[in-house]
Amino acid sequence: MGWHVVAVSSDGRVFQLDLKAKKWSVLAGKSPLYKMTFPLVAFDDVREVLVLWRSAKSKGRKDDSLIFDGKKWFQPAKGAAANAKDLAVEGEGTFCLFFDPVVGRVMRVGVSSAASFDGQKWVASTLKGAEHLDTWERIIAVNPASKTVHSIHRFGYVNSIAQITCTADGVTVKAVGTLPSAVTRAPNSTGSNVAFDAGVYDAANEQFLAFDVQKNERFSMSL
Amino acid sequence: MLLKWKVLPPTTPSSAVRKPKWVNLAGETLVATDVYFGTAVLVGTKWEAIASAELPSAQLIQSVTPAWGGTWWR
Repeated sequence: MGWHVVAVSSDGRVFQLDLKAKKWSVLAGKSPLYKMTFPLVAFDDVREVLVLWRSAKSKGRKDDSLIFDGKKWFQPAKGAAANAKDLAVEGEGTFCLFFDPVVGRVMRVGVSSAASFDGQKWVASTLKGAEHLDTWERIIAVNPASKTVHSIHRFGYVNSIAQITCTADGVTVKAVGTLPSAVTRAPNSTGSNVAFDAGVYDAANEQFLAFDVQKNERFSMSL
Repeated sequence: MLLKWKVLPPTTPSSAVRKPKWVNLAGETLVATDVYFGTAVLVGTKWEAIASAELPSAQLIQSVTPAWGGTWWR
């Protein structure tokens, strides 16, 4: 047992990183089922499957899911659809996908609808306080030890944090706080915001790490 | 509540990764990957390139995510 990193290419092949050998190996070949473009992905800790979901209609399927069980892809029953209002918004930040350690399911949370994946299909869930999630880009921070989930996100030049609480009764989002833009120290800095697309939550040390790749700088923040 | 960023020591970039789209943690190891399958791991403050499997032309990496290694990883 241990953590791995898995990559999915646009032909549906799945790769696994061997950190000791420092190389990628092919875990599964290409699949005609895979017709997604940059889907949201979460690993289901309980069922040990990758759950992929894609909202956009510009390319590939809309409001559709794929599951990878370690050997092959399969398409689950569709179940609860995402809210049409959310789907109408093109953008990376409208939805988030994460494994919630409390309910033991992968959650799909939009700005007006939420659902959990029960292993077979999406099951609709209530959603309160989703206005605190409206964002352009986001890192979901899941802490398995404390069983807490936070969204660290950017909307314009405002960075903020919200806690996402999932129970059998539904999903509740509460604002936790705000933080200033993390600007670079470069002499000609234009005050660019911290790069959330190159950010990660370090659960063991309970800190969020963000990288400004262009300027080779990095930042941390404790929740 | 106002939270604060802490600036960490800068890292030395690796030319293997053009522009990381994903930074993931595998255990304690940070892994940066771009859509062309360029990959580097952070060792101290230096990103070190690692070999990627062959990616056919016109193919891109669509997602990179950490996963807990259970039964099907072996």
